[in-house]
Amino acid sequence: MPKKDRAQEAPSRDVPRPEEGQTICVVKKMLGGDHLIVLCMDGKERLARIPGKIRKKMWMREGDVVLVGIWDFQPNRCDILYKYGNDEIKRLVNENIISREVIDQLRG
Amino acid sequence: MKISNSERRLRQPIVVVLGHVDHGKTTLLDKIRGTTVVKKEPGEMTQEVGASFVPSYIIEKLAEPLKKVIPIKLQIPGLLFIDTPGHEYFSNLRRRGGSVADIAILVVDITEGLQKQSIESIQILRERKVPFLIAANKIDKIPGWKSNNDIPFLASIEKQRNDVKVYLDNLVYNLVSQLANLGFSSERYDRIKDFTKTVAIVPVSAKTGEGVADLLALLAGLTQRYLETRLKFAEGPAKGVILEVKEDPGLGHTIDVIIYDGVLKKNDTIILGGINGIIITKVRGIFVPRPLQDMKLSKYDLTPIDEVYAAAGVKISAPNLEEALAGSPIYVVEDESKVERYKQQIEEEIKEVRLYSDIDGIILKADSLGTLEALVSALQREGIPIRLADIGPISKRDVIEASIVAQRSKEYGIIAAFRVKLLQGIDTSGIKILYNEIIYQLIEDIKKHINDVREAEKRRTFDTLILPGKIKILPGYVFRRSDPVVVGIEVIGGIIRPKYPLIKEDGRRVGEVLQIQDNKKSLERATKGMEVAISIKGNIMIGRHVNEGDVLYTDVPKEDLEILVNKYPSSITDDMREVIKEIIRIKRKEDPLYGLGLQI
Repeated sequence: MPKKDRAQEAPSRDVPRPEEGQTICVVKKMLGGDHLIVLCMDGKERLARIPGKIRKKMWMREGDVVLVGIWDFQPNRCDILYKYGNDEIKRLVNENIISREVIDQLRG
Repeated sequence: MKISNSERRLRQPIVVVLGHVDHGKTTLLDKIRGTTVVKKEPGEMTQEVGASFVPSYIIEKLAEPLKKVIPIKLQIPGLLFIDTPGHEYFSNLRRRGGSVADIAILVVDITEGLQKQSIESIQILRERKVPFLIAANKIDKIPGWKSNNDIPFLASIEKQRNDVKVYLDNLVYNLVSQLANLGFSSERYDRIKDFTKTVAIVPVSAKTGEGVADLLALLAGLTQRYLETRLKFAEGPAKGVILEVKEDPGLGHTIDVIIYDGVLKKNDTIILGGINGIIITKVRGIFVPRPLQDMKLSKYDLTPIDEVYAAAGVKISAPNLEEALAGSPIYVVEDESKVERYKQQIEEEIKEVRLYSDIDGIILKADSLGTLEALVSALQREGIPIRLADIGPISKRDVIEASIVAQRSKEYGIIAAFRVKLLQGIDTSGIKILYNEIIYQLIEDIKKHINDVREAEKRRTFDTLILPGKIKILPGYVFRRSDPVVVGIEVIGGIIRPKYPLIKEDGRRVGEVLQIQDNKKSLERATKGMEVAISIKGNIMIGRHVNEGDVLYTDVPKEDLEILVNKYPSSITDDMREVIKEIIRIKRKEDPLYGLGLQI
């Protein structure tokens, strides 16, 4: 069986920012089966799913900061869209999109 | 309706009679018809589908005594009156960007002035840009009025006493000021200099016939002078509007149509809007009901004719009319190649009114295009969002749409039905359907329902919320140390009410407020600055778990805080805002998500 084509779109320099219907979360718990529990910046705890597009390409761990897209028909669940790296988190903090204290608090 | 004389270049103007219930619309028309019926020769005066044609020579005869005052030579072949049982009917006389009607008479009871329906009629007239004049009816009811049957108003007023004239003038000026409030300048018709800028008020009495002559003369004169271009008769294919769709025994489904332009012949191909798309069909028969006296037996008394000229009300029988849409335009297609163009035109016109958008709004169902249009514009004026506006009975889809809306915003989860029924076998539990036969009543109902739901929701949720509050136990005011604790406190910020749970500054639960008392009287609430005594239930003891001088907060649940901030930001006072921030700081230690993402 041929390996899945790994050629993806060129990695952009830009850090994705939360748009309408998206929010930044911290991974609270891995559930397995591509599902995890995240704590979101809008004050809610959601069940997140790793879509096939990201599966096996981005690895999640507890305490990671991720961008999620909330399901419009079931707002207590969401899809993972992106995982921020440490330097990206720094940039978001500098741009006042998130605050370091809240992230630390969510990480526990 | 036979205008065989082709030299006449003007068609008869379409005159719509509007007015409040019981102000005498139909009486006035009856008077016009009645007097004409008496003087008519058979066959000349036709009573058609809600429309009566008054030939010009009758107008001339009626206006005879006025010749000296208003000299007119009639060029129009007559007037086509359309009696409207209400403005709903009128709203069907629509045509792109306006109305089929050339001019309107607004009948007003002079002793009562403008009523709700009259004002609504004026609004519709203004929207459709129809000029109108006002028939100030029932002048015979003026105290001291000496009735003179069937003479013009100008002659009759001469015979009245001076105080009666003054009384009448007062009533007329009452109307003038009411119209001024609506943004129209108006005046009694014989005092007007410029008819294009001023709305004419004609005092009439439908009962005695006074002023009817003036009204007709004025109508005829005004229309032929100012609307001449509009009345230019076109020889081309007919254009019209569907008033009503009916099932007639022996004919199947028929449509009542007002034709405002062109000529309609038997076997013409017509194109019109239907519920499920455009209908193209061939005219099988054109019918004109016999005069008034025979209307009861209309089943047998439709006179078939072969062709009809513009400005006429006729009944058309044709195949495939079951789904015809009242209020839709109807055109005669002269040759095949133009079908597509007409089709597009009608489709566009219908699309303007039927709407669907994915927003939280109410569902609207009406029986015809005209009424739907009137409802949509009235609701838009009120600022009520509409999710779906369509024609036909309430279907399962409408109910589903409404229930989707109800989940998100309960107040809009309704179906407003205007003269339509529910299809059978549909479960409507949980969805409110408002039925009404009067447009403005329906709109009132909708407004009332939305307000009621909003109020109820606000009261219910707001009263059950635990609001933020901060209190301090005053040293030296401990009345009972435990079971229950009774202490004197000062409210530092926010609000406290009985049943509110309390927490300490470190977030630990203290207990629940049992009662609030001030001077031995129990209170429902205590706000900032008040010094009251409260009793606290819980396993605590003053001096062991809580000390004098301690500061306590209400234990606001996360959800309650969210609802408070998002839904009732106006009820948050400055002191409460401070308290909220402090509570968030305390609660964050336990729950990092507490109060996250709230705009305070």
